[in-house]
Amino acid sequence: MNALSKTMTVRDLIVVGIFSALMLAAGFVVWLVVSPFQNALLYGSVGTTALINGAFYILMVSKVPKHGTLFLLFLLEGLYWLIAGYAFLLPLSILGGILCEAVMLGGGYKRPFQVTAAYILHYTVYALLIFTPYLLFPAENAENLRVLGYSPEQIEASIKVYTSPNTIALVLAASAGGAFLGAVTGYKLLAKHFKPAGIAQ
Amino acid sequence: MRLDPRTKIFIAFLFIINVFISTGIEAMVILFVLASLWLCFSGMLRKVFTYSLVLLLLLAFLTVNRQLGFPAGTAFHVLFIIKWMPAFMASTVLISGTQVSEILYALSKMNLPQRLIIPFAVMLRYIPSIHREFTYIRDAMKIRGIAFSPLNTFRHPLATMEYILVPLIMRSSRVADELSASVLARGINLKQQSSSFREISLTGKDVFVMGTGVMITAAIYMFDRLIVAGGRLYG
Repeated sequence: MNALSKTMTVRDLIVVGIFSALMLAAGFVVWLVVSPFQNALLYGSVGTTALINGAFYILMVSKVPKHGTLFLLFLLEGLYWLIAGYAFLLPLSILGGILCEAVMLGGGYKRPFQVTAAYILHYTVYALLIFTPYLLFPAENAENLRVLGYSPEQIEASIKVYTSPNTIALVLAASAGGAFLGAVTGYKLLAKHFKPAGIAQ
Repeated sequence: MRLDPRTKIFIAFLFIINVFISTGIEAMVILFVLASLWLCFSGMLRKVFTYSLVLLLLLAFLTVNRQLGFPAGTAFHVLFIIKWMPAFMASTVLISGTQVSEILYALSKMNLPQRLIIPFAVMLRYIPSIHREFTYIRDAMKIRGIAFSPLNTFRHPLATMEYILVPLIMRSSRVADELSASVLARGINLKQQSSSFREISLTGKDVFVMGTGVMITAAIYMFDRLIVAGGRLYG
């Protein structure tokens, strides 16, 4: 604990833990609502999650404007996915955390432009995860679909959609757009509610 | 039966390994049954009913999806949930069935850094509380004549978002402050090794449960590889 006070205090760690839980829960609710709809799931799930989570993210960063906050956020999300069974998301989360911290170098935690850029990067990384089963585990993915009873034509069509550069570009753009709007909404809520209430500076 | 949190963590990881290495539907069914037994063993019978209901709904969705010939992408995501459900059930035993202080103490005994242990334990325990907080907010909205309905959400998405997010964040921020004060009062930032009110140590029961878990994992792996992946059932 002695090294802890140099950067993040116990209170900071608890704030990050609670806001990570809120962001994960919001993502889960969005996923639950849109999962029956193929196109909404593909193009809208990450962007919508980013739009909602913007308020949590901006407030968290304004309460804990210290290096390591975003890395810890990514690490906690990765660990949660690990114990929930999605082990392959942990290394990708760690990579995302390192990239976001790199964006925040040079006093970025105090600058809205850098905070927004890191948030957009955060959800662009997560948008890539949609394609992970198709790009990294194509054989297992095809086998799962075959076991489900899908015809080779249907499997081929699905692989075509999920590995198309156009689809990937559109999903990344939608996610980045959702993240941008989320950050803007977060800053508006910060100015309208949280600063006057004294819970953020 | 009271088990060490490290045993629950170990069993949760065994389920993750099992799910990861299993490829056949038969192994998935066995893992679901084992996870249900693990929940029953931990006194969470209601959760077994909930998970069973979710599983039935997902299987019904898959059947309808296949009959109507909808795109396979959605089905893949649903299959993914079904496949990983046993690991999630084992995590429920850890998350919902263990006190934060016990998780903190057990993780610190594993020599993990405090900087990771504190937010991780807080996150795990706060996730189940979010639903309760949301229920309070929804009730408060109802009292003020603002109905939280799909129609209202669709007609006024930003306003609905604001009505829910602002009180949720305010409340969460207050919880963070109260929790910080509470753990600091209990001396979490002291350099000395902390102790636990409840005695937490690995006993014979823990060793028995972990040993049984390892043997079951090996048995499922062999069953999956020798019988299912060998082609007799799918071939």
